[in-house]
Amino acid sequence: MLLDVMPKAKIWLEFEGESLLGRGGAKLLESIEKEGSLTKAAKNLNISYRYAWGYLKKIEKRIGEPIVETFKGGRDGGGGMRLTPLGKYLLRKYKRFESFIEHALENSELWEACGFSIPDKNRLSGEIVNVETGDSAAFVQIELKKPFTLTSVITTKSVRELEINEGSQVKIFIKSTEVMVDKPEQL
Amino acid sequence: MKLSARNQMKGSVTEVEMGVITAKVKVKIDTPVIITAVITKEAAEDLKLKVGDKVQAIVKSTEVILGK
Repeated sequence: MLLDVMPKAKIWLEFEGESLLGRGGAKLLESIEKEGSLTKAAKNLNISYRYAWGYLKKIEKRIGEPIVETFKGGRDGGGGMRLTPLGKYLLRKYKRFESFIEHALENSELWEACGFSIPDKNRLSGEIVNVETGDSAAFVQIELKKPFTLTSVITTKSVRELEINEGSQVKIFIKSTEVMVDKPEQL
Repeated sequence: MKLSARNQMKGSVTEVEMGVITAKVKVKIDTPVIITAVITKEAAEDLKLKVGDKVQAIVKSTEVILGK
């Protein structure tokens, strides 16, 4: 039985052996860039202005360079905050790594190469009852004796059009060329 | 109209998870079925498949068609 769990990961940027920027910090930088104001950014993220300010200053102290700068004028004329080129660089770096990791986690082939199987595929256990081999292909029939559950991913449109709900009686169609066979090592 | 799909079975929907574009539908099949797979000769030989082997039939969820 496979438990329906999904692997996730947290990443952070490290500088000189210590954590520098994590997801929360990246969100803050992103919000400052978008809003042009620390007040608005802190409000959006539900953190206090003071905490946000302290967080930014801590980073700046460690790297010895500013990652944000204040400016007069701005949208409402009240002044604002923006990222310095270094701040932008940090944010971009974080986002690129995050995207890379997410991509790797979603790569089911990569997981299988490492010996894991993630539940985006249906794995049904059974016994071979027939094998016929031709020139280039083989026809394999597998008997599934016990009840099982299949997961189907279809368009939301189709679910609505066919009025598929919990309890609906449906028919399943799978082409034989879309069924893979695996023989786990007999323990 | 008959369909060429060799695997056709009836089941009941146990769960529907709606997304914006795609939805995940879980279907329970209660009766024993025989699943047919067409694979390459090399794969069959590599795995040394023969009658009686305990194996797993694997299908990608996006390749499961539903009909009603």
